[in-house]
Amino acid sequence: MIVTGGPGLPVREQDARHAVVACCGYESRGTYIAKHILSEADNRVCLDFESTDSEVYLANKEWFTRNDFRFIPSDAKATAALHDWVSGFLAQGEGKCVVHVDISSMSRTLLAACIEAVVAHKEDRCTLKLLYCPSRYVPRPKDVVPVVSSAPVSAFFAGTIRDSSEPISLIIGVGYEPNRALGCLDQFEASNAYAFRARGGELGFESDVDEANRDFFAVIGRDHILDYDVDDPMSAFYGLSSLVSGLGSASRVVIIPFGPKIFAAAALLVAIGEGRHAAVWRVSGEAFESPTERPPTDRFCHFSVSFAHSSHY
Amino acid sequence: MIQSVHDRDVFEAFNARFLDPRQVAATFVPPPQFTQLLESTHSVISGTRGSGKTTLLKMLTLEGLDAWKSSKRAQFSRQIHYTSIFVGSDVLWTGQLDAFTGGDTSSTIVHQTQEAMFRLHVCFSALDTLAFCRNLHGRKNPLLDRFAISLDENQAAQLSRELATAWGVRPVVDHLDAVRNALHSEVAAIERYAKSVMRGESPAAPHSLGTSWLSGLKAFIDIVNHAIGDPGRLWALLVDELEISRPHLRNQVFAALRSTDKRLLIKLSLFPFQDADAQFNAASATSQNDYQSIVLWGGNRTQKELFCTNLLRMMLKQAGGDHEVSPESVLGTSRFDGGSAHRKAGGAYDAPSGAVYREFRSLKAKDPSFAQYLEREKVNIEDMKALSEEARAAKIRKVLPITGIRDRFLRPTPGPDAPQQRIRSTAGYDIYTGASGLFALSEGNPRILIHLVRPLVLHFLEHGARTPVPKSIQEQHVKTTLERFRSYIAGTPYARSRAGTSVWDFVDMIGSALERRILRDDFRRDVPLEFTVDASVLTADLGDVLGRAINLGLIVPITKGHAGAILDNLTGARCRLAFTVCPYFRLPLVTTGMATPMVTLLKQESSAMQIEANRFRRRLAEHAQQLELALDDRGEDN
Repeated sequence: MIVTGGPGLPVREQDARHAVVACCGYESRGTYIAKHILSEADNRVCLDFESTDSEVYLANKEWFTRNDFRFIPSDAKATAALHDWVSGFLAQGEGKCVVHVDISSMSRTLLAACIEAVVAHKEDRCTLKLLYCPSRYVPRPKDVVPVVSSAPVSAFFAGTIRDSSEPISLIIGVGYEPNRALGCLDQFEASNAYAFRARGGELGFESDVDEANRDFFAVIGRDHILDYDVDDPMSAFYGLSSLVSGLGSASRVVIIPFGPKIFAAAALLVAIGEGRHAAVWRVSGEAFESPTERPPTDRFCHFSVSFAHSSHY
Repeated sequence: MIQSVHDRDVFEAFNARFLDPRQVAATFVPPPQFTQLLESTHSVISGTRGSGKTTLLKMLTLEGLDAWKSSKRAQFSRQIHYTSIFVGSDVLWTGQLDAFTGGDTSSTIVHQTQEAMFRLHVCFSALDTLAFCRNLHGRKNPLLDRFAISLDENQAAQLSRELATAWGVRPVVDHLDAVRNALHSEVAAIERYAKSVMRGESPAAPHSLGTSWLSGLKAFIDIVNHAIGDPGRLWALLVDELEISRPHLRNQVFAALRSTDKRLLIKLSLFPFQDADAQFNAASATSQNDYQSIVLWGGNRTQKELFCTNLLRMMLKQAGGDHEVSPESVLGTSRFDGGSAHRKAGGAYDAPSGAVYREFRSLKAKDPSFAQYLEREKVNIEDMKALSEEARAAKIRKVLPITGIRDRFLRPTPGPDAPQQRIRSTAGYDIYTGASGLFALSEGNPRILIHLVRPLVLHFLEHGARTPVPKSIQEQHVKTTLERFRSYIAGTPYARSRAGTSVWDFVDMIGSALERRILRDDFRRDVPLEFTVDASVLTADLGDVLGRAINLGLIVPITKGHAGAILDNLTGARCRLAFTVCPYFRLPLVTTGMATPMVTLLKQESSAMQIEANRFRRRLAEHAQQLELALDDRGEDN
């Protein structure tokens, strides 16, 4: 697997067939990337959050419907449905194909399902493009939202079972949920923890993240906080990759990606690249987390993943 | 360079789970229960999170005993007549198994896979223990020599062949390391098998599937005991944090306490309360007949203070300080020391500067209900010494914890329409500082105590070790520790019942109801700070919530006499809020020996919340009315 990436949207591959996977939810940025790349892709599918009480959702739904997107419910069967859809897309013809996934509004579970659906086909001729548009600044929630669910993001990304006497190293992409990273540290009883902190986003995010994780940062120490540039996803990918590789020999590594979705994408790609020994977990307040409108910025970044010699995935 | 926990000061480690026994030994302070645990019986240790269960079990291992540098080591080591095999489990392991098997706890594949994985982990740990016993040979350790195992190459090869056959694995050579590698292959095979089944395929089952972990362990004992020519050698399987395992596995391990194999002891640790899903089945062991209960929760305050003092001294010693100093020299005296500081200082009742005198005078001025109490009880604060010793005990000393809280947190005089403004919201936690206060806050839980006290020990030493750490510094650490504790509660899915009820919300209702009685209502001498669990309100959900609150260390069951390790029925139980959470509710760190039915507290708080909501609605309506008028005015202007 070869991972590249950077700021902006990727350059269009001329001699390939293109498909796009988007997400119909309650964020207005959900259609933003699709609008930019719509003309490139004949195959269009949309993971549907099926909300009825959000005006933004209804507007998104109307736009996706008008532009001939096929809807896939974002339920437990989404992974299988995506897998079938990718199979169908690949079967439509020979030659190179590109699957564009707009991850901006996706849950981490759906993001994992999209990556798994493409990776599982082990097709050298297929390229996966993960596209991300950061949101404008939205103030952080003031209250601590209880964690209701804490589990591997999927069986595919659950990591390898190793001797339970080996210590756990926790790598947390910190977000702005107050003290959630600290709670994870205690829940996993990790012996070692690192934070990945996004820099370069909208004004306000950085100070919110620092405030929400002040105690966590104090516990793990300054030298365990690693910054990455939210517009340069490869900075997260390389940093994460080398850390997982270093920690993996002496401990069981768990990555918990809060924060920008592009970090979640980096975590999932690193987990695949490292032979899926590291586990990627999703820790969520589920229904206690109120849907929040997140308008788009005019910035983009992406990962581009090709699967040459991919048999060992 | 990646810094691991092994590079750090072990007191700085987040917890004991992944410290190796040598590191655990470096900071081990034996609690009174350790002596019981040493006995050659099956044991069940129950304790809340952070209560030291893992540490106790690790200190039964040969590695732990070997590394322990203490004058008590010889005495304790001589009482151990078995070789311990330690097996842990954790959130990651369980989460992975659930993910691979679809998490359907009723499915056969889940049961088989989890048991097979547990069996393999027992095998790994048994091999580790065997390796350590071989390592002891020739080291001339007089205390542990009797556990050493000597095997020449041929004997070791023979042993590895026999173990491989018994465990159904195929090592590439006759060597114990090769057996270990073959076990790793078996783990991978089971993982592949489970995933394949979940994909709807029908793969061939690996060897380990369907084989009992207990028979695997007994085979190990048979083979090793035979190889070393000691057929009666005693072994102990230590299973840590059994509650993390899924119920069917928990039942199996628990049922093994009925084992009649005289060569095998089982010692396991778990949370005190076992929920409905995890009720041990009818064939399970019972406390009276099959195992010894070791309880790390509750306990009396004197015992806890002694343990905390010893742990504090260990921290001082580790940091290079004088570990013979008193806790008060480091942390100062506490408001909640049972009056011992007052007694030592003398003159507490004397005007104008006695501590009790000043507090009573201050409270009397701002709390009419306290002034009425003094009048009713004929207590003249200007001359408290005139009271008999008996009267002073009943009318003054008894109320000191309450007067302390009221004087600290009540404002001078509230308006009649705003009783909620009686409380000083900015008042800090300084009342909870001092040695006895911090020890009480920890509830004798080593993890909480280390978080609370370790930075203060360092501060004490860094500042010359001459005067106690200032209260303002202590207060800050109390706040930080409580915030971290609260974050953990918010961050763990376990803090929510199956039906979705928040454990913290429940604790908040109880705490707020008690706060109302202690602080917001008129002063009373007798305020029950405990509650009894009435059968009439103990729905399945409430029982689940209460049990989880106990396991998380938010609520402490109060038992008289000998308590069983496992709480499976809370009806009629008497409980109190853990002192750890008392600062949130501005409660004193004392027990009053009096209890209220839980239903009364919950009803009182629901009704108070309703009144509060109505008041809020009224204010909102008033604001809306004012806004409407303002808008009307603006309309007229336009």
